[in-house]
Amino acid sequence: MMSNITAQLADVIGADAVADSGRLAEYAIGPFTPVGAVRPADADGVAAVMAWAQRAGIGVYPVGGRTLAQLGNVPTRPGIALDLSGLNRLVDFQPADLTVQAQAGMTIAQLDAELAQDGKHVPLGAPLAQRATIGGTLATGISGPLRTTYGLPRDWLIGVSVVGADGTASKAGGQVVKNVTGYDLNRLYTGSLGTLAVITEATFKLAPAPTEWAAIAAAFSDNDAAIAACRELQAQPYAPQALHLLNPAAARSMGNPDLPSGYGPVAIAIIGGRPSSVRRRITDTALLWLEAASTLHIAGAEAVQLTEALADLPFNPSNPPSVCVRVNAPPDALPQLLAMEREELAGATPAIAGDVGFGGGRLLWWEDFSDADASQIADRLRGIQGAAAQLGGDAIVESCPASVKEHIDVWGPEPSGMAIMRRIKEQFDPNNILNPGRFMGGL
Amino acid sequence: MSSPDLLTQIRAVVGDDYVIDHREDLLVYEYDGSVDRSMPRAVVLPDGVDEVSRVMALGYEAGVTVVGRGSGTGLSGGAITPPDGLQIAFPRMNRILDVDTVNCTALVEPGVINLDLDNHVRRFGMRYAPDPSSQRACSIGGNIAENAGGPHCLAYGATTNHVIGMEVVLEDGTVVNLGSMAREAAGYDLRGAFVGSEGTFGIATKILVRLLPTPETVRTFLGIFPDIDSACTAVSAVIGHGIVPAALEMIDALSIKAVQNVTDAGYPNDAGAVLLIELEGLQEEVDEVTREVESALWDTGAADVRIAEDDDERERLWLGRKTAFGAFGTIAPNYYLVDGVVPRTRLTQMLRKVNEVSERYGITIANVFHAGDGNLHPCMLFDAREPGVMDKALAAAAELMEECAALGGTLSGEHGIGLEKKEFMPLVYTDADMAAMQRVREAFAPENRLNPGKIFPDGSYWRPAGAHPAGHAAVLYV
Repeated sequence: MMSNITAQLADVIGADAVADSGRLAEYAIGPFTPVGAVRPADADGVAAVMAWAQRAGIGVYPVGGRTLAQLGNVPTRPGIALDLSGLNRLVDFQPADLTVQAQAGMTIAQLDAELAQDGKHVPLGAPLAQRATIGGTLATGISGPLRTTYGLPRDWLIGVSVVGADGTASKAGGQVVKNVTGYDLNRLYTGSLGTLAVITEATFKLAPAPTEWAAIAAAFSDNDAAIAACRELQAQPYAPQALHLLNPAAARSMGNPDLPSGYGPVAIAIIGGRPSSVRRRITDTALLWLEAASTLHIAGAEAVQLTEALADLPFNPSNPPSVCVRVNAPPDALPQLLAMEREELAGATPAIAGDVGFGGGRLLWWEDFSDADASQIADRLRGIQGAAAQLGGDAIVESCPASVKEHIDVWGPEPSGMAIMRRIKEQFDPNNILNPGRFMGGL
Repeated sequence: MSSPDLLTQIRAVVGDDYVIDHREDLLVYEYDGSVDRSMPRAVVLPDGVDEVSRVMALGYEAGVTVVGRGSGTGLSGGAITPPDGLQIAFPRMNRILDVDTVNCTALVEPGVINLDLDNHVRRFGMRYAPDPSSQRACSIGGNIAENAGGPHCLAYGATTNHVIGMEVVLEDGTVVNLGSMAREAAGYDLRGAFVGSEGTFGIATKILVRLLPTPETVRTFLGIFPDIDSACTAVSAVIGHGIVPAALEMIDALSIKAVQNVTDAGYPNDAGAVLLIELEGLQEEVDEVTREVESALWDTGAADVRIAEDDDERERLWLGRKTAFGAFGTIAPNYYLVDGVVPRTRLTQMLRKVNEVSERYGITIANVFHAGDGNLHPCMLFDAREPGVMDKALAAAAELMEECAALGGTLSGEHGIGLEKKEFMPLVYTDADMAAMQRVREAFAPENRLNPGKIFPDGSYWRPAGAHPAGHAAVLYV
């Protein structure tokens, strides 16, 4: 079958764009290995591949920088990897309009570099920005530590070009920053994990990039003191651009020897802006946090690195957590989030990183669970998903051993809108070829 | 099932007093802020999600069309109901159910008036950022349907950026929660798809909105320019310098005259155009940015730059902007406006086109708009009693929309497509683009019973039967 598929793909898109069988392991999604892989050079190539896959009745697994390739449930049908990294051009950058249009395979770091030349940025804050692509960031909807101030990727996307499951190209939105012309498909595609269409190009609105960054890290004696200090800071007009609260295990996992340790939880305030406002925020924050057990001031490039380290923590390939759960919850659930320290997996307690302003956070484990009972771990994770629902949100198991995935929907219990989601999937991909089985409820 | 039976059943749900079906009582429900008009079969005023759900289920079984209505300030015909359709309005569902100062959220019913919400939460040190000029009258439910904007969208985004979760009723009466209590929810972003769907996906019965802390410092100033070209250049200079103010509004000479006719907003009568600019943030950054904006204004030919000295003066400047469309009544009895958007650097070019169209058609056009995000509101002023003038205005509007599209822009920045602009959708979207949109509608409303015949071109336009001349300038806002 494999050689047959490779040959067919070569007919469709040219042999140069088809990976040889020896490289298919690179595109593995957990225990699943695709039966072919193609890397088109443009949207027409993507359309040709999709049209072929639709005819052949074979699954298509779109990939970007493969930084979050493990996200989602295990694929349910054989298919090919559709590598978008060949679509990596900057299409149009209009600094005076504060808009940029780029192909989906361009990395976030490349995009950042282009925009930085003009003092602009699109503050997506995606993890592993050197490898993560625009398309992957949009498909996963993944956001970074500055989300309190800047929102989510969907808040910056103003236009998108896609190729549908049948190979038809279409677009949504446009090139302007304000637009209510037709339905907002930008937001529907963002975070849909490539199950509705393949993103080939995106247009973002831009913001002026802060010219200065700083951070303050402060350790507190216990959770109560830390939560009180964080809430007080968050309520101030000089509140930072981001405020995160890490339990001691999470603070240690940052691998930064300068972070205060040996006390209780560590709060990290990230501050960006013009020099005058950064100075003001630092001074006032330091005054407000005089009671902290230990405080560290971090300036400039080190603050940027700390922000990136916070973004990368759950996905860092050099120190990947064995289990990572993202809890979406309102800000007032911070105490309950920190209390999830008691949620043990095979006797191991999690590191916890909470996002104070945005709400929610992540639970992380680095223990080796390969000998543990997978169904028991799945039960515990389901318990966490239930607890998150009680807090008014949900919990997504972003990574866990493949054996555990067999026992759980990583996206959590089906929400009230599940029937609508199913109908959306049926409308966009009636034959279920786009990322089959990997999204919520098996979509 | 025949219609009278349906109304009897609906009366049993909501009470006799809350179903309106006498012709004279329906008059106020036959139009919104647009040029179209059509009298619904009946208007239902439910209270609570249970009543909404039961009414929708009854309408669904009877096979009738249902249209939700907020305050009727919409400018694209979104609330116009076909003659056999039911309209559901929400004056009874106007409660602010909860304000949460830790989560910075408010839970509201759809009939809550935008400005009432903002005023209410200000006492807690917070605000509701979307501020359409109709904010004294328009409702949060209507804002959701249209993804309403307003001057402060420039910095804070439109309604969709401020909605966290919703309880909605679908066409068959099913109640569904979209989003959650958290700012991000697992699964498809149904919340994001719903906002701006112009009442075709469902009817929101509870809305959890995001509030922002009120800023430490607000500074409002006027840049006064000899002509509109130099004011446009100033807009590009400010944005191009990497400054995104909280608001950046353009008011042209004719609009200044109209405003000053009705209220002394402090706009100089002899100016060619003024820019109304607001900066917000920490004292230090506002001071610094003020200096940069001032120098950008001077560099681009400002005749004067005036900073509001106190809250009273600030409010006067804004009052002028927000009542401009009402003030057009002092120039002509009727108006009709276009809501196109262009990339900000194309503003000068677009306004030249507006001028050219105005001269060629012999129609006066005033310009007061959201310059910072390129969202124009060219406003044609005329007397609808003049034969043929409405057709002329519509033809001029069509040319302006075509130009917006040609310059890389779009049809609507904040008013929606509705009935008004649906035949122009092919200017910006292909059949494939619109087919993708229709798939989402199929998923939310498979029977297409909610506000059908809007947004998408279908040739079934029933304007001629029910068109009334144009906006009543005195009661409308933009």
